[in-house]
Amino acid sequence: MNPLEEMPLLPGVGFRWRPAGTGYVAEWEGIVTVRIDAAGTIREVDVNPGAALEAVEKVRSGAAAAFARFVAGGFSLHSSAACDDGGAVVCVGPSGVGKSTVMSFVCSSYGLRLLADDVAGLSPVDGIWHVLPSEKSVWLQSPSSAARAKHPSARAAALAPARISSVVALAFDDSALGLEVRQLRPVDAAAELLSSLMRFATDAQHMLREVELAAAIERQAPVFRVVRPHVTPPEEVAAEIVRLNAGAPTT
Amino acid sequence: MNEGDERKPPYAEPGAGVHSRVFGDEVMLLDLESGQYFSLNAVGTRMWARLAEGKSPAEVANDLQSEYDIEPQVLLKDCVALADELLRRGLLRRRRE
Repeated sequence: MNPLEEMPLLPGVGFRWRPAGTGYVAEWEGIVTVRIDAAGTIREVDVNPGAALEAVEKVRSGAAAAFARFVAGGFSLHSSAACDDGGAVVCVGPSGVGKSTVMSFVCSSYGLRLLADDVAGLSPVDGIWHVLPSEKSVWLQSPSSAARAKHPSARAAALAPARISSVVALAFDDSALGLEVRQLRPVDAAAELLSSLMRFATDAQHMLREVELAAAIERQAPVFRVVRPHVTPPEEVAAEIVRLNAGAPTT
Repeated sequence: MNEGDERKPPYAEPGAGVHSRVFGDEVMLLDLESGQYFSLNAVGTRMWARLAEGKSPAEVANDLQSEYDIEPQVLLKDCVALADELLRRGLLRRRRE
């Protein structure tokens, strides 16, 4: 029995927030300070001197948007997501596991439309959880720099929320002989979703809501764990993800 | 109280602020004080249900013995190990007599 790991909001970046007046102030150390009103609207973004523009944009469109969503009572997953007419596949996993890389191939090779990269906002539509569109291109780690650059190949972005049709949890395991895929049991599926949830508060009310969210998504869509050794090409993973999503229930 | 009616005090009870959520035949434990989630597999879930009722690890092992093809001492060891970990994490707490 292990406690579920919490996903850091941004690896290596200090984060804190506090109430301020009727709203909130959230600070990503060395990058930006954001003022958000009580309704969850970002009112002001102060860029820290010397902050890299890519980092600022990444926080603004990702973590800050997720915090604003949290203030408004919503949820966000640390994930990348893409959709076709059948629904959205949500790719979760720790930073560096290849979510963005794989999703760029899912979009460029299989024609899915990008919904979100790194941070996916969630919204219920008639009781069904959807991913909100938030990205037009994929964040990728540059091999020659700590900075992240937008991947040029994934330009087709979704314009409307898409129902979650499958969730894929990526992991590396160099002892695996190749791609290993299995559908998770309900409690493990919920645990995987909770591990990827962007958590800004750990009080009882929020925890109970988070668990019910995970339970609802787990009931709505199959959750798969896809494990691979580092030598497995991301194109192969992308093909498997598309195959899994195509086999997911469409109701 | 008649002679022989005396019951043993419960071994333990769920920790303060510990909430369980069932997923199929498995359970997730929420520690609302620490903000942590824990998941238990199906066997652990059956053990948890009995430990949370106040049964001792030995009583839990005895209850489950007929359901699993496993050496009694191995099952007891597993029950003790889970109870110890649940106590260590504050998900169970010993009852004061």
